[in-house]
Amino acid sequence: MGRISGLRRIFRLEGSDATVQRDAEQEVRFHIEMRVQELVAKGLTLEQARAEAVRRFGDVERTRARIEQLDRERLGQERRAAWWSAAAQDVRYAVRGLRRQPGFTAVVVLTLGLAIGANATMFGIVDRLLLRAPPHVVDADRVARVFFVQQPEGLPVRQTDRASFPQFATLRDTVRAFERMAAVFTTDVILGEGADARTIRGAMATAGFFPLLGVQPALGRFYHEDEDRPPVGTPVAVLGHGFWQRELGGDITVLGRELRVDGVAYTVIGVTPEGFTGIDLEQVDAWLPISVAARAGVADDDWHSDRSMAWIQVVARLRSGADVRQANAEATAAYLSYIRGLRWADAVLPQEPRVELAPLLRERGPDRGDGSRIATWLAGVAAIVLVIACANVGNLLLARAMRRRREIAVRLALGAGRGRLIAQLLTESLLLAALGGVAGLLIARWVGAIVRSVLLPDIVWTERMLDPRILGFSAAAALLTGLLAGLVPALQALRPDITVALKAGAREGGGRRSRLRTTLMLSQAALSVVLLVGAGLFVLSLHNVRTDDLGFAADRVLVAGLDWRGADVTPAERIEAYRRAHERVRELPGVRSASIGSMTPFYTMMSPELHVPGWDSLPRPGGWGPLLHAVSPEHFATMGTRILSGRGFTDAENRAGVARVAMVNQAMAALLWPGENPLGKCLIVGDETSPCSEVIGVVQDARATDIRPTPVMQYYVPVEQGQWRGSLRTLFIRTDGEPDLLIGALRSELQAAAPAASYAHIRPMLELIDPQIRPWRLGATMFTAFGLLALALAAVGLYSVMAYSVAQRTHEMGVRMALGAGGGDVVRLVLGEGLRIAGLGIALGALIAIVAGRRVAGLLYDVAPNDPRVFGVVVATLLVIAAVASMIPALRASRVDPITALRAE
Amino acid sequence: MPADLELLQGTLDILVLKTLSWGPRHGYAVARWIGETTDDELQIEEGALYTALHRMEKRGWVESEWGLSENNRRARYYQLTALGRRQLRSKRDLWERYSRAVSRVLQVA
Repeated sequence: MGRISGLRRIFRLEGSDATVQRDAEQEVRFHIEMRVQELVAKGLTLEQARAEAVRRFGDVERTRARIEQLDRERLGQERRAAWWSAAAQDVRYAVRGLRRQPGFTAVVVLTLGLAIGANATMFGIVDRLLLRAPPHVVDADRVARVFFVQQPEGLPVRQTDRASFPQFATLRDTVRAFERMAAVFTTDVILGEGADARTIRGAMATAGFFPLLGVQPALGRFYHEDEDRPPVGTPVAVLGHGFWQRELGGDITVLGRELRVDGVAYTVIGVTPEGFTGIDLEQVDAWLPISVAARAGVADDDWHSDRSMAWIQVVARLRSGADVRQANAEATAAYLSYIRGLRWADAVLPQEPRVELAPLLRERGPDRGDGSRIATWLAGVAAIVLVIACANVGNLLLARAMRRRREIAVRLALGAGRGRLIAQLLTESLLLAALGGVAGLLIARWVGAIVRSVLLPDIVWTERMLDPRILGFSAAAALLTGLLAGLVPALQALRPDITVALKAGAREGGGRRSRLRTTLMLSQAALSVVLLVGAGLFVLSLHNVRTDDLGFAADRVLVAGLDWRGADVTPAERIEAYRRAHERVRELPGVRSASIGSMTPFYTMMSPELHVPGWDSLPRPGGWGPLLHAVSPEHFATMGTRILSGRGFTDAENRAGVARVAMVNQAMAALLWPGENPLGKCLIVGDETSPCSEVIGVVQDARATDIRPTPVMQYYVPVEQGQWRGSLRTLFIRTDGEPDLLIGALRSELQAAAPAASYAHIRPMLELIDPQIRPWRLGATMFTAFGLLALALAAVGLYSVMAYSVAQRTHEMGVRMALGAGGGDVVRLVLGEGLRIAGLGIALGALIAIVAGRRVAGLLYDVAPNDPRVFGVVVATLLVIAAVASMIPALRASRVDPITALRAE
Repeated sequence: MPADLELLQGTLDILVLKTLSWGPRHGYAVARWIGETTDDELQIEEGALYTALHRMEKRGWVESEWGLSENNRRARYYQLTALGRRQLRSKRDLWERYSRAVSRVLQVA
């Protein structure tokens, strides 16, 4: 820049916006005055000279304004250029620094990567479950699920979004606040016929469902109102995009093809757009007009008039201008008028009934599942892991900054601006965070896919793992992490005691500034304890839920049912088919025992009319029951349900025309006949004129609908005695070996026994229970993963703090040893220090865990939130880890050679 | 004058650059030097000179700094940058070719 730069330095006149105006004015005035002087010297009067000078100059004001503007623009340009060049310099400097220490860089990037990856994964899940509207729903804020709420006396509020068709129709026809209402019922339907038949997911939806949501077909069209008119509509079908791709290879000539579902031949008229799942987030293979599909698959011709089945889910779109309160009031009025029209036989009358609109996303509404609740917790946990990682990286950066104190002090002394130095240190941490963010996304892509498919398999994940929202979230997380982790060390390193730093060099700087690092360390240990306690509680819950006696032994039990959809068979023929199937199946090699039952736990339940002498109305603990099981005598052996007193049914009792007998569960015996012997008591199954069924045995309580123990009354009668006349049957099969291996053989037996049935459903009993176990599996797996991650981070953190502190105090160690301290003393010193920090953190964490534990109590299974085993194991583990992490630096310290250490001065 | 503005602006830039090619000077000195060298024949409005200077500073052809004038007053000094020198060279070549061409045409007439 030559001479002018020299001038710049001499006068230190930096251009700025404030001086621009003054400069322009001065420059112009200087010119005019010089000209006036010159003209006066030539003999003009002052007046004349001034006029002449201005004339020659032209428009003074305009010129001044113009050059002022030009200067402002130039200054802006220069500032931007300077900023970019400084930033580029900082980045180059940071890159150089990080490349010099690849080990440090790798640890930091991995730490941040794991933490950001965990957060990106959990954000993706929470975003899908709780934040983002279901795909292809337009203006989702105005679409609501319609919940029917009632409060039975003395019981918790019950709410369901399931309704009968007339109930839906009443609301649809009367509520003005709704622009549109629609109903949908999603269930397994049978695709194809005979041996090739299998089940797919079918959604029976009213024609209004699609325009209500605002979805547009990917191919063809959706069905219209006039194709879906009760009682019988037109058999047309819209394929789910996934099904179309998977089963038909995305063939665009699919329109007009026949699709056989539940024995009905549908014509394919359209394909849904990719990712469309309706209102729930689960896969749907085929969309069918409810007026066709419900006849075949649900309830023959009664489907649109039956008031006793609450089966369809109701959704509504609010009219623009209508508010939720108004809609609730109108819908409640309609619901009340519907209830007034009910006959006694249709249903138990609800009390204090009302209608409440709930958000379209199920997990945001009143019946959110444990899965999303745990996912939300886990998202919080992931955030804690990020905080730990942040503290850890902050700690490492701090240690590094301390090592560079001397360098920084020198630069400060030479006049480097603090702002520039902070920018430089921050650039380094931001660069690390950016690398960590990239690593995190890679990890999220890989781990996230596993977490999604293993732990939440029912959800259709249409978003790629790296969609813009997740990318944005991760970028924000990385930025925040970089700033947080970098700011503290940066400020710390710039503490103003330059002279001390210059004089003492690096050696003494560390020890004195260790309080901040100790605090970070402490919080890491504390948070690790919290997470590991959480992990322990969930692992114990999972263990308990798996090993708990459910009242039956679900492993090695298969549940088989015959599907009669589309088949023209009488109930008597169905019952006979089950008898035949039972006979064949029990002879099959590999089958230990087989039984017939009317009710499948976790799948169906029945509570027909029952009277008990001495009781006007029966108690209904938990709001259910009493539940009836009509079973064959082998049922208790097959299910593994223990008979506690009395005896089981005999084959001789399992036929019509013999004296009626019954068995009750423990809960029922205790409730109905407290303190008495239940054996020999009388149950009247059916209406009051039915004969007594003598109670001959008491069985243990078995779970019926809920994996958690609930006191539901259950009773059992021989299935062939005719006490219960229903035709509903299920086969239960206990196998000798792995039950899955027997499914094929079983299916051919069932098809041979019941050729008229359209399909034989065979499922392991465990599969029915599994959805209820999944939340604990999710919690246990994820808490453990996060807990171990946090533990690893804390271990690395403690190790780095101790190693650094030892390195800083080599001199001190040398002196100690020169004065006669043994290696053991030094080890004890360092180890003690490490354990003291860790111990404090652990104690703090245990306290937090005890407080926070009360909040997760509801999510645990048979584990107290302050379970001493969990706390004991966690505390011991952390202490061991802390000991190991401090032991390595301690040993290193003990090997310090006093001569070398002292000479290094 | 507006019709000649384009020509004039280019010309003015050359004159200013040329003036500064002997060393840093302030705006008044530039104006005087141009006036004296051309015997005031160009009749340049001096305000335009300043806008030219500042425009060229923004483009990075010249840079400026405050210094002291001959009579000890604060004055803004301008100096050519490397970029400015290159500009001067190329503009001079262009101008010379242009004026040769114009003179040739005029001589033919």
